[in-house]
Amino acid sequence: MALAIERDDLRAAAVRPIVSPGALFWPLMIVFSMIVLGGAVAFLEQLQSGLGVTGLNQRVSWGFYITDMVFFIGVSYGGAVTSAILRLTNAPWRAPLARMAEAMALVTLMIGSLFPIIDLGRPDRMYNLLLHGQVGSPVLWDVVAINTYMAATLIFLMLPLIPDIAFCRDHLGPAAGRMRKLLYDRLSLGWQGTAQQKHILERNMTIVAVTIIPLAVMVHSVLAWLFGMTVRPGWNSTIFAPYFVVGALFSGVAAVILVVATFRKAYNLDAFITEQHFKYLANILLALGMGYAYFLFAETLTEGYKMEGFGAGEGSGALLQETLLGKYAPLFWGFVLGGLALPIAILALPPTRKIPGIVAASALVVVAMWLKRFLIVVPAMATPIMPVGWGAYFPSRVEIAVTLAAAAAVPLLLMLFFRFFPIISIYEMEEVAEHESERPPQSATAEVL
Amino acid sequence: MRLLRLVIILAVGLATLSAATAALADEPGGVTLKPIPPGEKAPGQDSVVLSAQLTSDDSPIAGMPVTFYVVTTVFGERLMKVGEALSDATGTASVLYRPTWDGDITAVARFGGSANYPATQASFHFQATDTVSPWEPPKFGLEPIRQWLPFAVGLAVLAVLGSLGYALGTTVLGIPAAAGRAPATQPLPPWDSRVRRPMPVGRALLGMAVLLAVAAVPAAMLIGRARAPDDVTLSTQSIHYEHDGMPVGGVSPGAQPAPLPETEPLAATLVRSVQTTVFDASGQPAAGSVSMPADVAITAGRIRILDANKGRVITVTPDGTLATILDAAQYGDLSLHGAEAMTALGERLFIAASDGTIIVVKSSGAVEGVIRPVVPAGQAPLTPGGIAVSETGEIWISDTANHRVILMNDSGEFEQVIGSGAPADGDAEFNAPGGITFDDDGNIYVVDTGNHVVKKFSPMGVFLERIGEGRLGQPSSVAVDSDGRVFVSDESAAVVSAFGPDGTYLGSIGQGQLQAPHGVKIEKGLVYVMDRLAGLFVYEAQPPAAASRQ
Amino acid sequence: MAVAVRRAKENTRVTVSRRRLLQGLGGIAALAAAGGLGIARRPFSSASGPAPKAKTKRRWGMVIDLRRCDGCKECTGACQNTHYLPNDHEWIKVYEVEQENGGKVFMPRPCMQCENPPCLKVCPVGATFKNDEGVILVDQDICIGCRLCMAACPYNARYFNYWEQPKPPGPFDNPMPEYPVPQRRGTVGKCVLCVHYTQMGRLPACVEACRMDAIYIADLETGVMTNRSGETYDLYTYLKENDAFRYKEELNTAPKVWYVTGHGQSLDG
Repeated sequence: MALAIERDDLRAAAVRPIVSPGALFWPLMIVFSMIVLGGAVAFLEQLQSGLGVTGLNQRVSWGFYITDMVFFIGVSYGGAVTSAILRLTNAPWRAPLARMAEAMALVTLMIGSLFPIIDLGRPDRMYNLLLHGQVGSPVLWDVVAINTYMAATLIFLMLPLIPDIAFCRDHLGPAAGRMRKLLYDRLSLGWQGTAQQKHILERNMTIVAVTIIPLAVMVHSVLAWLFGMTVRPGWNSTIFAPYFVVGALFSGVAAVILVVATFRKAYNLDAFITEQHFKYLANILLALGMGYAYFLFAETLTEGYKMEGFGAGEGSGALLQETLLGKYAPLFWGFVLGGLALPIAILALPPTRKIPGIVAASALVVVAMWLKRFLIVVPAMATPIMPVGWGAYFPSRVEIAVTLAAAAAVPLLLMLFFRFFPIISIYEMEEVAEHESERPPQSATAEVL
Repeated sequence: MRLLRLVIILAVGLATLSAATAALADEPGGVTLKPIPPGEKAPGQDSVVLSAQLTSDDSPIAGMPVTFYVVTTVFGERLMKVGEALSDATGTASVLYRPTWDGDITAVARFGGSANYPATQASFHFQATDTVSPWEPPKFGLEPIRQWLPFAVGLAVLAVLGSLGYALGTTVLGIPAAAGRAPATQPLPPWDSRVRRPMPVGRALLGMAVLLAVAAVPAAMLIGRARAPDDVTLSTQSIHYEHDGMPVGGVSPGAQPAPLPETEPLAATLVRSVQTTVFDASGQPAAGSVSMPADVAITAGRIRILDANKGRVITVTPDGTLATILDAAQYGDLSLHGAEAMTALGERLFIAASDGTIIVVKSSGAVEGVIRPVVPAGQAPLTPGGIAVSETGEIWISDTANHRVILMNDSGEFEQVIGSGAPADGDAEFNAPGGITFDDDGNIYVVDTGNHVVKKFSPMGVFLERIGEGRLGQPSSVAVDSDGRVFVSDESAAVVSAFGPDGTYLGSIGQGQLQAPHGVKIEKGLVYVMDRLAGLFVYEAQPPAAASRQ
Repeated sequence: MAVAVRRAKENTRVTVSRRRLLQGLGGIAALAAAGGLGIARRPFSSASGPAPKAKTKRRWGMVIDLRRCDGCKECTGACQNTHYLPNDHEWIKVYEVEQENGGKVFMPRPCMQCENPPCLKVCPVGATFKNDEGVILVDQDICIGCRLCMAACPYNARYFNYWEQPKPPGPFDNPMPEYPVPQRRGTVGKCVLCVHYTQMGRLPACVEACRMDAIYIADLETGVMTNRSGETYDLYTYLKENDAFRYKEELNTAPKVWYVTGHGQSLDG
């Protein structure tokens, strides 16, 4: 996929995918589209026949769809971390990653927020949430929180995009095509780069960055409370909200690493995204991984010390027994070893702290966190809460097809996104460069740019 | 605690009652249980003492258990045990009872008998006012906070939305407004000529559309496979669903009969039909119309229809319109709701109300009286599904939920019971019996709905034969004409099937016209069918001489 | 010897009542006198006037006597027949609890009709509501099928309609919360305590079907509990005397179904 060698010019590199995405673009688009189409067909089948086409039953009434919902929305937190938190802490190395991270956040959030709708028994009655909404219901909190967060993410993506669009409008020329030209004209809002415009932009970006962080915390807390407000074993835990938030950050940063690594390779962005970037991200991932491991340990220890209900075959004791030593043990230990221990080791040990290792660790984390979401949702529903045996759940091909479609939709939409908008935030890079040039250039970060 | 005031109403009447009761309770060499009506209670008390004195020939009987009950009205009249006490030296036994509903309360004291004394029972009344229900709704806790929490959260949400809206608004509006001369930016270097020309967006979209069209073929095939579970195979036992060849769910609507043979038409002419129920747009009986009438009877030559849901009896006037002759709402204390059966004798209508009382109505529509069944202690109240009345004052009632048929006299006392009380299919047993009628010889026909058959008994209640075996789906009512033909309404087949005196199937009438036939009566050779949905139909069945079946 | 139990007249708002009162009392006296004297009566002449039937406020609950339940599951079948339910919908479900010393205790579990129902709290569209008699109902016209109520119910008492249900025979195509027949696809259903029956004075299907007379329907307002064979007790006295308890009441759900067990029986699985 190597193209003609361009000059190491930031702006050229940022907009190159718009005009020449590479030979693999269309084949990949076709493949991903087919997968998405397969999922759409499966969903149509579900609309026609009802949720009976899934593997759900009266005991386990939440399965793959809810797992996917929590997973994809969690993954979108990578954007919150990389863009918002790092912005507020003035970490200059975030600049080349910001666009990819924010785009990924928006895409996974949009996909994740489809899953509650896919899971509904009567999606045709969604408007009842508006007409008859009950403020005491975690589902309604979820709707409000996710939509607000999506608006915030969209705004947060859009704000630094305005100068970039203006750049595209001014400099892409006929290579962009007529449709894009129209798009750029409209969306650039007349950006000329005047001082006043910059001031407006800066101020608003700070406002949104400040708003989006507590919002992000609340979104995943609310998602956690869908489970936490019930009395089911495994869900009836007071630490569920921070547990979920840390898990989301963890999976989100790993996803950011994967996306950045992939597009860096595909579009030759080595000059701007170096190993150091990955090392910083790896540090964050490591910290979050250890934080998540801590939460897992605290939860498991507290439940395991008491083994509540185990004698009766019910309760969190029974659930823990099955999770650690029973039916779900392979999944659980696979997660602990492959999704926590191994990645933490890879990220922590100097020999493996290179780009391949970091990317491999991130891939493990992303997959393992999906598994962990599954382990949160399904075993708790299968645990008996009445004097009867365990429930069981096996996904049907409909659920698998929809899940794969969602997974394929992420790269599909991202690739599509970068056919229209610069892959590196030119504005933020220049902003950071200005900022750095005002400082005495003795910090290591200056070398990055 | 609320003050409970107990008022003895019409002491004279009660005294009369007690005296009469005492008189009735007296038996030669027997035992008297004299209830002691509770007197005025002190303020602050919410319980009443129920007491009765047990004597034999005026000398007190001590140390015997007397059980006290109170008549409840939650599901018809039932006796609720409220306590048991031993009689003291004066023969008096007392229990403390706290009434939980206002109004007249009937208390019953019962002595179960012993080796030396026969059992006896006595009742008395008292009024209860200002009773306090013992039930209190439980508190959930955190009261004041829970009220205010939604507001606090709502404010936070508004604050967030406000700041986002502000950021967006000032951006969208402010940036175009602040446009002006800007420092020139460096132009991009020229593109390398080796770079391929990008595909224009329009053509790209066209390409994707072609792709979708190509993919539509396998997609359509896949969708075609996705079928709603309407691969329904109706078996004799249950309804099965299948998806992908795997059975799912399943309905077992109880014991279904084997599939019935097709009904054959019996020659009959429709003499008359009266539309009774008019449905409005939402599928409900319209405001003024009759609502799913259950039964029909003929008195004074006129058709009377039981419109129980609206609590009235309707008549069909000579010019074919419907007029109300009895409206239960006029009587503040009369209810026809749930009544399923009505029959006529001479000029009177007898309606079996859902709690087992029989309302006797004159042909003008005036209520003549009410007969209350005297259910023996410990038995369930009546759930009448059919009623038949003979000239000698015998009332036969199908007690549907108790799977038996009862003969009552006109004071409501049970004289004979057929059926064990549990659903069964023996000769003298029933499973949810429905309509009941006599023939000209006084034989009794009972529709045994749960067993899909009609059972015939002699006038003394001896089982004679089963009629309609294998031909009835969900029979509800029966009528017998003067030729001995038995007409049975079959709700699932939506016909009225006729059987000869020996039980042979003669044919069915009303195919295609009836939808939910319930009540059947025969008057002067005409068959009146009350269909809950389709209305009233009057048929003249072909005389049996023409049909040469033996 | 049974004596006719007649209810004396209550003052009602209807003007005829006083006249009927005197008529009725006169009738009773006459009957008593006539009965005592053994005079033959003409048919239907002794009927007394209609008696009062005021609508009392109710609060429905249940009492289940586990000493009697033999696990026949007639209650489950009757409920499924009454509401045309598929087999996997067991609105009243009979659990079989193995005992330590061998043997089983059978525990029918209807909807507990909690006073603090978790299902009602979490419903995002208010499809689950409590009627004025304390019965929790589901409006399947509003339900969006999110199934959070199923996750929240600690008793597993709610069932989801994964498939379309067939149309039941007869004129039953007007589902309403009180009689949700047929069940709607994609919504949640549960025991409705047969409010469609109790409102007209009939016993719920399971109460009527229990051939061991183990299931009682109770009105908490008047404190009356009764079963299908007419055994009627004062609820509060019965609960106290029989050490009745509510299942999982420590969860603060305030259920309205009480269980009575025998000695040494436990409901832990």
